[in-house]
Amino acid sequence: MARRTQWWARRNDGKVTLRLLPDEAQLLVQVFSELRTVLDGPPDDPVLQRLFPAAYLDPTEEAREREYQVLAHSSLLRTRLDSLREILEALGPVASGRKRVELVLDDEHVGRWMGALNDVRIALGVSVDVGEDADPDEFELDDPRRLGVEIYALLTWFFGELVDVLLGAMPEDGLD
Amino acid sequence: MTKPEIIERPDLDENLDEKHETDAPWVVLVWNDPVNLMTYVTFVLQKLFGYSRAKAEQLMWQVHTEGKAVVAQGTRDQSEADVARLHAHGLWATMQRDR
Repeated sequence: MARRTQWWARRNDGKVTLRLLPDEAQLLVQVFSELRTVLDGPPDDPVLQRLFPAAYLDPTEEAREREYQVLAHSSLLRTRLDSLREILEALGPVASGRKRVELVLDDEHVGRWMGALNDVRIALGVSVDVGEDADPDEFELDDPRRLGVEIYALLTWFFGELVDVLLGAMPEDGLD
Repeated sequence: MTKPEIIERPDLDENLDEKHETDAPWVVLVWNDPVNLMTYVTFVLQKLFGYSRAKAEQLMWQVHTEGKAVVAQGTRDQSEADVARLHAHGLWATMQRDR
């Protein structure tokens, strides 16, 4: 399914391009910085509970669950913070510039963008408690949650376009 | 969740019990959540497990409509590694004994 995309595209050499306006980059800097603050914050934050879920639901596996959390949490947290640092560094010049910029990303960078964008959607989704179809029009204009849902909807559109580009390059057949 | 049933079987030799414990298959489940896009779940299942588009979409629909789906199975260690990879991709995954 070929269609025109607004931000993301795949080049013939396999690299992925991202075209951003300064104000779009500013919004991304804001949401990624907020995520970084949450990641550094108190561990009982419901956003962190969702970003670092339990592997075992069975209470008899409590010891193993603690072990999983010790190992998985630290490596996952490091990956997330590394991705955010790299992305924020790339966004800085775009956000403070005056014109649209095209970033060229290899597979590793794309993976970091994908993870970080999904993480900010999870963080916003948990904090504004969105349903399956988050619609800003369901909130009154003066409802403080409305802005969060608007940003969430925009990020979903932005992220969905990246996923479509990546899924389009993925083979149809598999090992099953 | 219910606890795994513990049955006293004095007739079984201890080694057998131990072997059963080690070899008992584990399943990895992905649970529905309101945030992850259906296309994204399909993409992650293809990327992590090498599934075809058809298989990944079928599992994604099962998560979406039934609330959860078994996406992989294996030993405890394999399943923990799979859960960790799914968590790294923001999917809500857990593991349990396949009993």
